[in-house]
Amino acid sequence: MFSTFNGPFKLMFEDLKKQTIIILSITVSILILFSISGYLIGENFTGAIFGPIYGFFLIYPFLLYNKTYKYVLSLGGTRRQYLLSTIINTVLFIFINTAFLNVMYQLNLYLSENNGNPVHLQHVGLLFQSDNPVLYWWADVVLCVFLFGVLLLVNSLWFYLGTIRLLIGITIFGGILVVWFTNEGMGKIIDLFINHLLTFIHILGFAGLCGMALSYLIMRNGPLERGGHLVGIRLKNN
Amino acid sequence: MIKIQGLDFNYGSTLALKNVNLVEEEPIIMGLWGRNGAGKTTLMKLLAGLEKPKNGVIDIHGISPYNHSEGMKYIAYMQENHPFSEFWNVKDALMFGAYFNPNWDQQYAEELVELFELPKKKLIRKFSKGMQTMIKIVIGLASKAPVTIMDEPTNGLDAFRRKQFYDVLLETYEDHPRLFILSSHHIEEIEPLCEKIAVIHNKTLASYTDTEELKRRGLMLTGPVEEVQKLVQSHHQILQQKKLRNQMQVMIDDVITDEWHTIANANKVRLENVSLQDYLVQKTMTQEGRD
Repeated sequence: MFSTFNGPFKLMFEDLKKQTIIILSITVSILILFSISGYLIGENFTGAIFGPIYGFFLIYPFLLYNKTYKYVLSLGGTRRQYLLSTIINTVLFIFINTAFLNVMYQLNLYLSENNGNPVHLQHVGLLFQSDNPVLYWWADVVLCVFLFGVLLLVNSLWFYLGTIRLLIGITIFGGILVVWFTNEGMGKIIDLFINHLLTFIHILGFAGLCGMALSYLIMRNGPLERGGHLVGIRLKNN
Repeated sequence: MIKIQGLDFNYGSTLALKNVNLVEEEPIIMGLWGRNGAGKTTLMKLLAGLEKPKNGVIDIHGISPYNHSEGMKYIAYMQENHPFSEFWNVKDALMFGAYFNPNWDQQYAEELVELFELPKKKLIRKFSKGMQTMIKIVIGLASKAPVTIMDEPTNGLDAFRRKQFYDVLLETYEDHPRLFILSSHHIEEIEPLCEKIAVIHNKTLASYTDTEELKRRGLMLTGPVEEVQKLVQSHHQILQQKKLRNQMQVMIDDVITDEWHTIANANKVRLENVSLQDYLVQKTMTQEGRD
């Protein structure tokens, strides 16, 4: 039985698979480089290996509409299929990538505790003052969902509205945010971060999920080109 | 097979298509011709479900293709600059072709790749223009979609590859008759294949005619100025006029008939049928352009 969702889903899966192989290769290379540096420098060598994976989910939303969106639509997929397959696959690969990251972290920790490796790795989970590996993994998952979801929303708005309208929107929204932040927001955020860290990162994760849901609603009838729905209006203004 | 009624489309406030009407029930090879900016690509995007009509109806096998997941079962649209991932080679492109098209014929796709001598492992982004056109042709034909739309399908092909394309297109059409829509700026490149030609002009469908009938149109009268002027003075559809000293050449929108031969011979005026490309260019030229 032919499913019309099969094509978009597999295209996104294959794209993320290729990107993941590259990102994980870089992560492993960094860990190897740190290990070599640790042996050369000494016991107190500290590093972090989450950069490539976090960086990827930060950048990936900005690649989507210029690349895979066009491939899926040109092969006959719909916008809805594209958005659903992108969100499902990205969340799936967030779980896979962060699992890999945490396996490397725990392996390094084990070797470090048994004097097999002088490198100490930083992890966002250290803020919890807990050594539960599942909590460490979950923290990575939630933060990657936040990064991807929020930036997907920014990029969806950018693609739908075009650059000028997005900048106007960001200026207005940024202004409101600064006023709120300087009046009462900063205290609340610091309080949440210090006293309720787990709640804080789950709020971020929820914001990421909201970003994904809003992106779906915005782009399910999105244009083919950046700001495409407003082309005529821009021409008229010119 | 396809039915378009009262189709309007705008990009923002810019008119792109106005009141397009076209019905085709038979699986034929259709040509789509129009000058730059006439609205060909927009029409193809609408047929492929990439854009949403502002007004009117597009019906392909009973469905409206915009954002309709069933659309991919019936339509394959190969764009002029078809987007391929920078990671994809021929093998990948065929794999995704199979995922998106329920009637996909993998064996046929591989035969075409062999025929066009496409390197299977080379990245498509490193292909020449002609090779990129060939991979588009492979996907378009192997999809075996009931409605297959190809934008500029001969772009970058040399004479040999163009002939190969004509041959495989006609062969697969014979084996599995389906509706092909071939779009081109150069009508001569697709006209030998097409049973009918749709002309897009001034953002609408100006004509949808049998190719043979269209080819008969466009009459060039050459002879002494007074004789030619006398013959065309009552003709309303003068498409082009050229004067060189005491000789004159006039193109009119008409067909060659025995009556025309008799009149021309009697007035010592030479009569010939112009090429389809010349006829269409003049036919779609504005009055200012002619002047």
